[in-house]
Amino acid sequence: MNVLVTGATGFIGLNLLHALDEGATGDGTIELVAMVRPSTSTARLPEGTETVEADLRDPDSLRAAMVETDADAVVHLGAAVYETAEMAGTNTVGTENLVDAAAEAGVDRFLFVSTIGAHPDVPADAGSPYQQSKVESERLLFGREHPFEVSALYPTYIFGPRDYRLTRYDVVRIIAANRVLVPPLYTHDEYNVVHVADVVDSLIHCLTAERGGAAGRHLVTGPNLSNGQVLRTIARHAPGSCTVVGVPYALTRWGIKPAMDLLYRVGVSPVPGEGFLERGDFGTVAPPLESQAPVEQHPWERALADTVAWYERVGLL
Amino acid sequence: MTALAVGVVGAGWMATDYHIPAFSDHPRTTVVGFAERNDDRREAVAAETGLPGYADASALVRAHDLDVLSICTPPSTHEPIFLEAVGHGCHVLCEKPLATTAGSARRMADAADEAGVVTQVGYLHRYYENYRRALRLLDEHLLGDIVEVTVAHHSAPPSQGWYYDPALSGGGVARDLLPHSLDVLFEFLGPDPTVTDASVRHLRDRAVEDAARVSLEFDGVPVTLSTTWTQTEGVSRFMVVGTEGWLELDAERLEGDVFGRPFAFEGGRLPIVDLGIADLFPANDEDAHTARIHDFADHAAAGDLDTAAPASRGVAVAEVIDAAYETAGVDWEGTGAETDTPRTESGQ
Repeated sequence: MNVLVTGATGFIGLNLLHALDEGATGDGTIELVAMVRPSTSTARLPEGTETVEADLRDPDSLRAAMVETDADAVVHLGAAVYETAEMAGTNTVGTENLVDAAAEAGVDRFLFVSTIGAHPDVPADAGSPYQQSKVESERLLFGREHPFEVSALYPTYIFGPRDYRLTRYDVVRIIAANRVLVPPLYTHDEYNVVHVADVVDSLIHCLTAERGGAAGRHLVTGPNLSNGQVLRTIARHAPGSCTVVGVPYALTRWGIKPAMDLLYRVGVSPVPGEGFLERGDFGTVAPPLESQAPVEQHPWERALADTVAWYERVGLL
Repeated sequence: MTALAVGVVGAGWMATDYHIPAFSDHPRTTVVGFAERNDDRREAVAAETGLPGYADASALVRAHDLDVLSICTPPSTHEPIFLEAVGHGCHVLCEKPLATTAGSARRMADAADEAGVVTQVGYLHRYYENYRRALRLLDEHLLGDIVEVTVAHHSAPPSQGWYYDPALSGGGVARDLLPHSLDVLFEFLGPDPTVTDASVRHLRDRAVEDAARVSLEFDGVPVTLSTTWTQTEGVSRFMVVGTEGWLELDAERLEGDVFGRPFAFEGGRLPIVDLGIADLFPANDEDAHTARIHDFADHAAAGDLDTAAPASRGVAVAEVIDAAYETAGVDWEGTGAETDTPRTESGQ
C-alpha cells in the first residue's frame, strides 16, 4: 500500500515515519512517501525515505504528487499549528485541495489527524483559530460523500520524542531547572496526556484494518491529570535533582498571590501574583471520554518519560 | 595491565600545567621523561617533577621505549619530531597547529597512517561541555538547516617570541587561533570548505599578522571568522543561525532558541534554580585541557585510531589556513617558513 503523508516532517509525521522505518508493521505492506514543500529540510526523516514535492496550497502539485506516488491512501498531518495567518490557507483550503486530489486519484483511504476540540462530543474552543480550522475540515470530511474511506483521530495533549518545535520543552525545563517564584509551577492546571506513539499506532491501525473496519472518528485520549501529577512525573525522569512542591489552592489564593504581588511591586518577583491563579486546560475531556483509542495505549507516565529522554538525548537537558 | 610509557617534548607551561599531570593521572599512561632545549628550564622541570629531562626529542626517544609522544613545542619543530615518533611506532598527541603548512601536515598524516599509530591534534573547544552540547544539538538538526555561522576568537598577544617569527610559527594569529574553531566547524558542517575571502592586518609592528578575517563556505553555508591578538582576557564565540532557531556559545555560556522557545546552559549545565529574575548555575570547574589529553590517552590505550581530531584533521585545518593566507596575499616564502600550494580553492 502506497501512502502519501503530508506534514511528514512534523511531530506526528516524523514519529510515524520512524516507527515504520523501525518495523512497526512487521512487514513491508505500507510504503510511506513523505510529501514535502520544496523548502523543507528532510534531514530528520529516516534515511532512504521517499519524498515527493508538493504544497497543500497548490492543487496542481497535489494532483501530480498523487500520480507520482500512485497513492492508495493519504495520511493528512500537514497543518499550520502556530501560524494563525496561514491557518485558513493551509488547514482549511489545503485540506480541501488534498481531498479533491485524493478523490481524483482514486485513493482508498483518507486519514486525518484532527484535534480534541474538533470532535463533536467535545466542546470546541471558539477562541482558538487552530481548533476552528480543524472544525472546518471536519465538515468537509464528514459532511460530504467521498469515494474513499475517511478515518479521523482526535488526540488530546500529545507528548513524546521528536518534538523539534520544543512545544513541550518549557514545562520540562522549568522542572529540570527547579523554577521557583514563577508560574506555572504552583498553578492548578489540568492535562490530558497521550503518547505520540498512541497516535502513530492508531494511524497504522486505520491503514491496516479491514476496509470499513476503521472508518469514522477515533478519540485518542489519556486520563485527565493534575498539574502536580504531570510535573512530579517529569521531575522523576529529568536529570539532576528536581523538586516539585505541591501547594494547596487555598494557600495560592490567600497567601502566594498577595505575597507575589508585594514582591512584584518591590521589584523582587519578575511577575505579579495573578498568574498563579490561572487554571490552564491542556486537552482535558469529560470522564466518559478518558483513555480511549483504537489501539492498546502507552501509559501516560511513559509519554512524559520518553519526552524527557528525547530532550536529554538531543542535548536540551 | 601495564601503563603506556609517555614522553613529553617541550617543557613550557602547556607541558607542565597539563600534559605531564594529565598523563600522570590517567590510569593507563605514565610519564617516563621529557625533552627541553633550554638548560635552565630543563633542570627546573626535572627538579620539580622528578622526571629525567633530555636536551631534545631524539635523546628522549632513544633513552626510553616510548608508547606515546606528546609534542608541546613551536609549530616549525612538529614535523621532524612527529615523524621520528611515528617511526618508532609511538602514538602522538601534537599541540596545534599540527604544522606550519598543509604540505608538512600531509607528510605527518601519511606517516601516521602508514605506521598505524593513534594521533590527535590538540584542539580544545570541543572538550568544553558547552561545545559538546552544541555539537549534539546541531547533529540532531535542532536548528533546522544551518543558514550561517559567525565565529569570533580574540586573545591576548602570546608572550613567547616564537609566535611572532613566521619561520617558527607558520604565520600569525590566523595560524595560532583559527585551528580551534575550524576543528568545530569541520565537525558539524562537513569536510570540504572553500575560502571565499580573507584579509589580514598588522595592528602592531609585528612580522606576522595580529588580526585576520576569513570567509568560508561549507556546502553552501557561509561562515565568517574573525580573530585578533588584542589586549583582552580572551573571547571565543560561535553564533549559529538555522532555519528554525539559533544558538550562541562560548566556553562559559550556551544559549539560543528554537521556534522562539529559549534554552540556556552554563558550563554545559542547566540552572540548579530558576528564580525567574535570575538563573542560578553551579560553579563551573571543568578542565577541557585535561579532558582532551585523557580522551587521547583512552584512544591510545585502546589502539583506537578514530580520535576526535586525528592528524588528517590537522591537514584539513592547515589547508584552510594556507588558502586564507593565499587569498589575503600573504606569502611566508623567504621568511624561512615552508610554502606549499594549497588544495583549497581560493575565491579571489
